[in-house]
Amino acid sequence: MHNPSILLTLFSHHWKQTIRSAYFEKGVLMRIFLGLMFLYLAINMVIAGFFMDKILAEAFPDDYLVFAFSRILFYYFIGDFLLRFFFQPLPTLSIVPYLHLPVKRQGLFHFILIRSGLSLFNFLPLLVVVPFVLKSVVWEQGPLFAISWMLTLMLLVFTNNYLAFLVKKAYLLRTLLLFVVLAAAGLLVFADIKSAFYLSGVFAGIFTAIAARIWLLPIPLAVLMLCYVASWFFLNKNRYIELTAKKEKLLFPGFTSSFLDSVSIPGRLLMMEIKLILRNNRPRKVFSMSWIFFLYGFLIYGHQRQSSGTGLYLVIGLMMTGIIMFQYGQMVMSWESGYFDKICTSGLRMQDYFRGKFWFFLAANSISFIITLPFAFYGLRIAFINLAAFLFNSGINSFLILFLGTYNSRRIDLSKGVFFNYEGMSLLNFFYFFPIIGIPFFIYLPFFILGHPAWGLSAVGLAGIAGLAFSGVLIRSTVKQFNSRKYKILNGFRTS
Amino acid sequence: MILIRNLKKNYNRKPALSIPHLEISEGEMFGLVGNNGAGKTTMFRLILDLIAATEGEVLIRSIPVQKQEDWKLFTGSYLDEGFLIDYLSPSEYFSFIGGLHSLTADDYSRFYLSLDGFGADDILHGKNPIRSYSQGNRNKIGIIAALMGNPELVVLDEPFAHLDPSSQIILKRLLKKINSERGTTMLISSHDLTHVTEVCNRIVLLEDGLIMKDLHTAGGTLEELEKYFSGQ
Repeated sequence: MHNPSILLTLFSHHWKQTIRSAYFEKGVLMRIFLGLMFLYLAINMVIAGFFMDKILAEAFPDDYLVFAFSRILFYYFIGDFLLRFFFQPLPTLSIVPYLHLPVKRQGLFHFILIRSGLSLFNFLPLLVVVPFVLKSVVWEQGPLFAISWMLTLMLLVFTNNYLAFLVKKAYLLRTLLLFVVLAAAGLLVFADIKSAFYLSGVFAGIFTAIAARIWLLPIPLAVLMLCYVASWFFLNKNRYIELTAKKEKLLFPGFTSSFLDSVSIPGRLLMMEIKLILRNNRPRKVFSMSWIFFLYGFLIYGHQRQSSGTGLYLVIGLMMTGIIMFQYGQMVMSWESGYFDKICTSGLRMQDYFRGKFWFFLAANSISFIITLPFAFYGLRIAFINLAAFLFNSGINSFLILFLGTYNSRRIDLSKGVFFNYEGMSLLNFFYFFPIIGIPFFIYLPFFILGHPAWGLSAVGLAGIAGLAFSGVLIRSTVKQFNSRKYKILNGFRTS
Repeated sequence: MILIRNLKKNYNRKPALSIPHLEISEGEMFGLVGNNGAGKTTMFRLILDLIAATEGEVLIRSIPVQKQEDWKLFTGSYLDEGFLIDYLSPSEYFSFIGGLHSLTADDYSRFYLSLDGFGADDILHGKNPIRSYSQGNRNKIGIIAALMGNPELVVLDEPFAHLDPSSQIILKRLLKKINSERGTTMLISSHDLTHVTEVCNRIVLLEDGLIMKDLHTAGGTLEELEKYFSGQ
């Protein structure tokens, strides 16, 4: 290793950077809440690990426990690889401030690679694995096997970490190839599920075979070393490319002269919003991930068809027809925190600004509503429920989100990723869904109890129409609300 | 043009700015000088209603900035990079700002011509996102945007910083030209005493949030300022 003390210094700087980052410093409540949430997830994982033997015995009655678990790991590694491929960047730019100092460059590359290997994400599987091993494996296969099995597993996790980086870099220009690989992987998994060809079985066989012979451990270790060294050589070879911020090209330049630009100020703002989403990393990812929520429709509608589900369908309808508005809109102004001073001093009236936001929400909801239309295949009723939900989202929830948005004064760096990124989120964001889903549900509920669910739906829809009809008034009161919070918001955007 | 009455701004109970009374008349070239932390940016932010005043008020053409927003229609400003929409290309950014002032296609070309070479073609018609430009060029983009739509009041915080020598000279000429041709009121802060005495006809010196000097530019102004800042 090159001068271990410099590595230690770098890690201490990294630690300082982490604990001094915006959301660690601000908002004690937020910190506690996030802590509790992670704790809850961790406990869930530990419990799952503890009862893994029961779960496995039911799911794979023919296999012995470790083998069955290894088969699940096969899927885990595929998912893990894809997640890393799409969401895990290598923090190469973090060493730029050290490049001009008398520090060995090779050591800096080691720092980047080790740092990515030590990320918390790599150790999460242990939460499930350790209780499982302690409860079952140690007793059935013996402690030596247990240790060597876990070591193999961790070696594979780290291998995945570097392999994803290598593949990402090697195939960045050849995305097409990736899709071919993806399709092949999908086909294999499908064949696996349909029990035509047990790839996961083959994987589990090799995996347990290595674990059973501890003298074979150098093999996965060698694979890991190979990936690490290859990554290191890649960084060293491409250092001028990797260590300079990319000269950016304008994405989607065609939006410049579109017709909306010439229409009106809210139309211009709508165009800006679209550019903001398309050209910046985090909003683009938030936006593209929102579509996953439409799968809820298949999950829910496909499984229960009895007429008692109207209330549930309403909730699902609200979620689906407003998903982009909820996901993106909960940080309405924070997205623009980088230039909000200009918004407030240019000739733009705040009334027009919020009208632009309202238009954007309307457009987003309309698109979402149109996407949900094919669900009418599961029953025409669903289309009516979604129409009511769409109207309510557009007329009432849109303003509710703008109102709640004025309480969020956290800055967002648009270029960062989405994964475990809570920048720009306040405690409020975790409770958004209560009023947004709760209010329409409580409008609907009394009618349902009285035995007129259709009236309830109409009431929800009518409330939305009323909101749309009085949008002018609601926008004016949003401006008033904003003005009362203006300095707090501006200050937060500048400093937090 | 601007009337400041009993304006106070405290940060954590410590006074950062305190101006009992200040009037800036129409067409004035108003320069603001002072060391770091003297309160220059705080004063500009208060004028543009970007921070809450602890006490007092600012009136632009007798519009109280804290209560109404009509002043924005005739005010152009550039304080820092927080004014740039950095994922837009310069031309998209200009057309966004110009659109707020309903500029026509003719207005744009006339405006670009009137800049007398401040900002080369790759800035005015640039096709890369603003965040990919150098700091000096980003600064130019912000200043140009502040001059769009024939503003009657222009507020610039350290406009000469990061500019190349030619651009500094062109900018000085340009600001003076706009002021003399259209009578635009300008508020300019700078650390460069030479520039500010050259451009402005009135110079206010801030220290620890207080106005220490209020000078009308004359032959000896530069020497007087230099003497003050060298601690003599």
